[in-house]
Amino acid sequence: MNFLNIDLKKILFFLLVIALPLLSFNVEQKSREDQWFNEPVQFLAGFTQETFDVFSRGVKETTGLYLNLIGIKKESADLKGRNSELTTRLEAMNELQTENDRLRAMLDFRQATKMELIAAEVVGRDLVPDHSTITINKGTNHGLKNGQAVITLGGVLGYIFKPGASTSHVMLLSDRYAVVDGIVQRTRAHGIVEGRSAGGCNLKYVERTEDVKEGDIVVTGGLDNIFPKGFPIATVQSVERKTFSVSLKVELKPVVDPDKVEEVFVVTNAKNEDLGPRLGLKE
Amino acid sequence: MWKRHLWRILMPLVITLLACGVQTVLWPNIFGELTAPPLWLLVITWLSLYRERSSTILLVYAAGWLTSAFTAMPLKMMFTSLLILHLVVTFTRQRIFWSGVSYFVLASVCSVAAFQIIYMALSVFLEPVRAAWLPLERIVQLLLVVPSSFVVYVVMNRFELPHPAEQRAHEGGL
Repeated sequence: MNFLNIDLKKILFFLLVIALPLLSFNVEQKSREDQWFNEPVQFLAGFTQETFDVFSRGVKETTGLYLNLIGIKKESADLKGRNSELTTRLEAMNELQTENDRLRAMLDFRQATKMELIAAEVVGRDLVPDHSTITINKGTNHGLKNGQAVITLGGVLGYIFKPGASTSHVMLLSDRYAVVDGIVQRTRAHGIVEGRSAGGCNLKYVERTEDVKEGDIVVTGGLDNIFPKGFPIATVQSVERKTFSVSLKVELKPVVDPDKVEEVFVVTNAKNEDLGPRLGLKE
Repeated sequence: MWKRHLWRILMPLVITLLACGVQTVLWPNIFGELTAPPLWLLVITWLSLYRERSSTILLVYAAGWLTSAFTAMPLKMMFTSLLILHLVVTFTRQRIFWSGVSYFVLASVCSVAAFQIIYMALSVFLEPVRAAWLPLERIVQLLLVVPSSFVVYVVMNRFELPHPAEQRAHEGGL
């Protein structure tokens, strides 16, 4: 019956190979919530990252212990033992003190705000250098949803993206896909903060006539009650007025360095909080 | 026989999952801001080089799908980049091939460099904001490929159950 001598298996295989990338293009049009087929891999990824987090903490502690032991041995030869032990203890205490201060500051912030916040720890980074995301140890089981704001005491970090059951990815402001509305704090010029990789972002759609200077602080606009209003996003690094452009080219540097962040807050409900006056920012 | 088939499917996927875990959690915890070696890509390169059957591309897609859970990279970029990379690696392997770890290390460096070029080129057409150059991160990644590809080669060959038709590719050892 196969007059044309066609190998149907090969044709079906070839169609399958081509169809998967094409389907993936179609899938991009759907919202994250509709992507049910991603749930198993999200679950696996969350489980793997949590496991490695526990493991890596163990490795860090053991390595730290080993290094401390070497330190104690060297110093004990000089200071007859006891002194070095106290020094090591003091270092551990200092580390605990730093952590305590950090957590206390977070607690004070949480108590002083009317926002509903969930504290989370950073457990992982993005797989490729082309994207800027971090993974936190809270997910949909803890009430997290796609698009919720993620902040630190210093300023805005990003927003929830791909929440899993027990872990979630946070899209950082510097990622190419990140978009947040922002206001220049000094002049109230409105724009959209867009990531541009390499640790920076741009303030787009600011009219040419607006007064924006290097060193200005860009704060959240508070639209849609996702971010609290008036919270620092970035500082202006450079401003360029192009002759034939209706808007300014403004380059920003985020106020928070994501590589140094260990704990974050996820804003589950901003309750229209305006942090401008409390942070001493001009309104 | 079905156990061998199942092992040949699950083994690379589990190793990809572990590689992603090491890269995204363990590495930053120990080495901080230093760019991590692309272990996941080395596993995929190994598959493209040493699994000679054409169905390997489906396994590469599956590994890419798993990997997408660890990054903000869209699935369209992941699948399209991996398809092109797999074709390039397969094409090259059919013309230049020798057994042993030295070939894998060399092929891995070329494969990671090729992936970065493919990714940046596709990004221009498929993404709203194209990928940045990030020369330092990319060079560090390429340098780290040399030691890490050795580890990936040893691990993958340790757990591999070769298909009789692929025996030639696995001869030579280290």
